Amino acid sequence: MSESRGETLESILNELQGDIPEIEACAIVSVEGLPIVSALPADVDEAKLAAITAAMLTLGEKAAIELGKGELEQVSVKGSDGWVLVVQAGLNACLTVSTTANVKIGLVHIDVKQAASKIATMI
Amino acid sequence: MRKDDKGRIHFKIVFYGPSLGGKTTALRWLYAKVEGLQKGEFTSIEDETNRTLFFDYAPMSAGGRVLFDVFTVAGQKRHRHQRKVVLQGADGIIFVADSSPDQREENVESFEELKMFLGDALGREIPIVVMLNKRDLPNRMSREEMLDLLGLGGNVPIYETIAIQGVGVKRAFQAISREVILKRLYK
Ligand SMILES: Nc1nc2c(ncn2[C@@H]2O[C@H](COP(=O)(O)OP(=O)(O)OP(=O)(O)O)[C@@H](O)[C@H]2O)c(=O)[nH]1
Ligand SMILES: [Mg+2]
Repeated sequence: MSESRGETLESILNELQGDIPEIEACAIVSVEGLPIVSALPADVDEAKLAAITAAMLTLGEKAAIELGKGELEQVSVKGSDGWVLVVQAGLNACLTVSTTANVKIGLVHIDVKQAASKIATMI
Repeated sequence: MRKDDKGRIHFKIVFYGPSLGGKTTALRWLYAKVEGLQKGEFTSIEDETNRTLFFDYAPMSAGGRVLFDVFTVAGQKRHRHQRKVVLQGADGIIFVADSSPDQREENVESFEELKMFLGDALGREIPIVVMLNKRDLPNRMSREEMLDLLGLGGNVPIYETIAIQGVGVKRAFQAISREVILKRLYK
């Protein structure tokens, strides 16, 4: 298992940021919207990112339910200056990632999903 | 919402709804089965047939400094005063509607009572999610029929649940916790 390699929630976030430098901020947030662990630049507030995550989950869940898309797996937002992704990490938490615009989003998806499934085994 | 002497923030979540709708069952399931929540002791004030006389209460924590004090009300009509007391200070409501067709009236009465007790705050300052419970019943009312009955449009999150099996209960609880945190902690 991932834990046996000495991985922590912090190290998963650090690794993710190391692999994809376009990731500006990432955080693990409980599904209730409470921050668990984060790796953030100085100008991003942890509580704010958690609040945004909660709001995205609420809207995403509503969309998935109302339009018959099944259980929510992820929510993504694209602005002219980048992406915000919220991906479920097991039943109790999710992983929120914010990137710049020039990122290869396909790669981000793969890495973020991998990180999320590791997190799922640890929370 | 209150702060305790350790500086932790408590939010009060109340399961509301008609008698025998499944409120106690849902809270007991959350308490017994859900991982990822730390729980204190479960308190029940009930009669010998397990119907709630005043309330059930279980404190739960999702980690950190935020705690949820989760209550159920006593759904039987004669406990109206007790329900009003338990509702005091509520930060969020989970309304448990009963899908059995013979509980049509009871669902409506209970929901009307809740709206009367909380007035305009319901759905605004005090968020609500609805569980359509007992979806395992072969003769259950349709989702549309129940939403019509309760006069619910698109604004309230609806969860179809089977509390005896735990189906949907955790999602409904996570949803109300999140709504409460969004409203109260991040406003
Ligand atoms: N078939 C079915 N039965 C259920 C379900 N949920 C609860 N019940 C049953 O409904 C009965 C009443 O459940 P309670 O949880 O005690 O109901 P309550 O809402 O707490 O009732 P009061 O305490 O009187 O307000 C019990 O016999 C439960 O086993 C469900 O999803 N499906
Ligand atoms: Mg009860």
